[in-house]
Amino acid sequence: MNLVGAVANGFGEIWTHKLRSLLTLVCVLLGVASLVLVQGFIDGLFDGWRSSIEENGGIQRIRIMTDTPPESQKARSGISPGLSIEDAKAIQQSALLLDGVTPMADQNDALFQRGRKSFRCRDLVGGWPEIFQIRRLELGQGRAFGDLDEQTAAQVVVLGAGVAKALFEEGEDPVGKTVDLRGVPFTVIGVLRPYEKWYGTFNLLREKNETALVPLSSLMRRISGSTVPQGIEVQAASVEDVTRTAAALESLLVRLHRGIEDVRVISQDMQVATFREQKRAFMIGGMAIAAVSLLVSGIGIMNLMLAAIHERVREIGVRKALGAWSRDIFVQFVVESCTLSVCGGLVGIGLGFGLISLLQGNETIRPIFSVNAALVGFGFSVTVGVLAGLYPAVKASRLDPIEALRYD
Amino acid sequence: MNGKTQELRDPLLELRGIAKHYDMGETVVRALDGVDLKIWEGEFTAILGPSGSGKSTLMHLLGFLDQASGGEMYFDGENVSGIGPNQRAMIRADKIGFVFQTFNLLPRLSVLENVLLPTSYSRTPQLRVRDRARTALDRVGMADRAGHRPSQLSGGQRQRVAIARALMNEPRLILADEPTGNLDSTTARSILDLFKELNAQGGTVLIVTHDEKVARHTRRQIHVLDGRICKETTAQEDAVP
Repeated sequence: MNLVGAVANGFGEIWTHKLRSLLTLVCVLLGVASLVLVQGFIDGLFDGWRSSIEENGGIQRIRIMTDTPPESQKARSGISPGLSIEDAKAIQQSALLLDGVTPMADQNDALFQRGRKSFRCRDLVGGWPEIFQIRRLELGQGRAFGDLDEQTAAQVVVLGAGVAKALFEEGEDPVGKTVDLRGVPFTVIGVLRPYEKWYGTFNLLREKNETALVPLSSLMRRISGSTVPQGIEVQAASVEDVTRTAAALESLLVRLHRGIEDVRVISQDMQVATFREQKRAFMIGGMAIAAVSLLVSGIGIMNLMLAAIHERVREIGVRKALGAWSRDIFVQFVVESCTLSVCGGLVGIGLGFGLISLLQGNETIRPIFSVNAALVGFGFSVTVGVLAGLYPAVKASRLDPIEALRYD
Repeated sequence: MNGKTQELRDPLLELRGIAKHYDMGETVVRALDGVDLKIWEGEFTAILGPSGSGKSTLMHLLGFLDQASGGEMYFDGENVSGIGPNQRAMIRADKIGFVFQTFNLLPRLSVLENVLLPTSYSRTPQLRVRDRARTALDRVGMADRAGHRPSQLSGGQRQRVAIARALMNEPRLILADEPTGNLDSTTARSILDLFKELNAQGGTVLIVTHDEKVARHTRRQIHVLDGRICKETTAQEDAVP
């Protein structure tokens, strides 16, 4: 019997025992669907995480933030000058191998106005010109601000693509136009390119589009009135240097702050290590789920096949009398169990993807469609079919035709 | 065709001193004990014997379903005494057509698919299988039931389909094991007439039965008792009722 015939025969058997086949199919289906779903969750989670790290400066970005000094230093913490622009200058002048340094200050929900249009910008950032490089911001139109703008506290702004879209008409060139930022007129000198990274229906990089950047001095003098930066951002010379650079920055800052440990150096390599560790844990968890589902569906299929063979002893006898080799009977039953499990697998993949697309509306858990997950699910169902079919098929193929024909 | 002309050719099947022993631990059951038998092409033969006589064992050997424990067996002049299970399966697929007491049609398949079944197991290339299946069904008068399921047919009709299945690969020998055992006498008679017809068309038919009345329809009766052939009778044409 050829393979096409065997598969057709398998479908025939499934159709003849609809309920029984359905129940078994559901075993495989649930196993595969859960596998696809779990894989989708893991992929979605880590894909989002990775791209947000990448897009916000990658592993090379090191942030320095003000921190509460340890309890033992509380009493004399006043001797520390605190985080300041001077720190950033000191870092710049140190012998550390860096690709860029900038002090940073930001304001949330800064109101932009232009004529009748207004927009609350999610994050208004002030920094040195290096901030574009450190945060990996690319211009779509116009230019970034430079050292001269910083020195003169120029009233210039670079808008995120989303901000520009909200303030300007379609097709209107924002560069050179003036917008009011908290009542202060600023000239738009550039617009960032639009950023998109879709996680289902959610753009992971939406924040980047709703950012606006101004020179740090402009932000401090024209808008906030503060002279203290909220943090310092540094770009390490290379990924390999991150750990060393972070340690060096920490000791430099402690020295500058007279021994008071009131800053925190945050590098993403720790995060990346954690990220890898967690991904491994998730994968092991996912595999455990897959293994259990494999076992459950395998047992279901084997049970069905054994029952089927018990009922079809006579059929096996007839087939053998008509000239079937043991091998033909073996192939017939393995193909039958595979047909069943692959059907279950395909429906399971469909169900998994259906559930994933249903969950796209959810903001907190967002699995993604993963081709890998579908392939794993398919491979999984074929494996189950073959493994679960082996023993019953061997049993069927070994039946003696005379005994089988006599069987009632 | 009479005995004398047959002797000039090789028999289709020849058994020489065939024995079949079952080792039951303490004792050895001698199901067949030295059977010599020749079956010629074109014969219509009955193997007759009560249950336990060894006739079923003999049929299994003649149908290549089983292996003898002693003696020699020739098929078409070729020694087939020591062949393996797959070679026996190949002979069953291409050279033997089985008809069973319980019809043994596969209930899930249609009449046509049942008739087509032997072609899936033949190792020789199969051409125009559907046409051939329809021809086979036509020969047993069941051409109009090709799409039916076995469960929609009467016993006699099912047996006709089973015979069509046996004819499918144009076998050298049609082996029928109590083919009328599950049928009423009228239907049984029509099935036996069908075998007669097939024999008249040149087919070699061998019926295994315990029923003298069935055996009387054939032209040669081989009586089996206690694992041996005890008697052989040849019916005269006019003696057939």
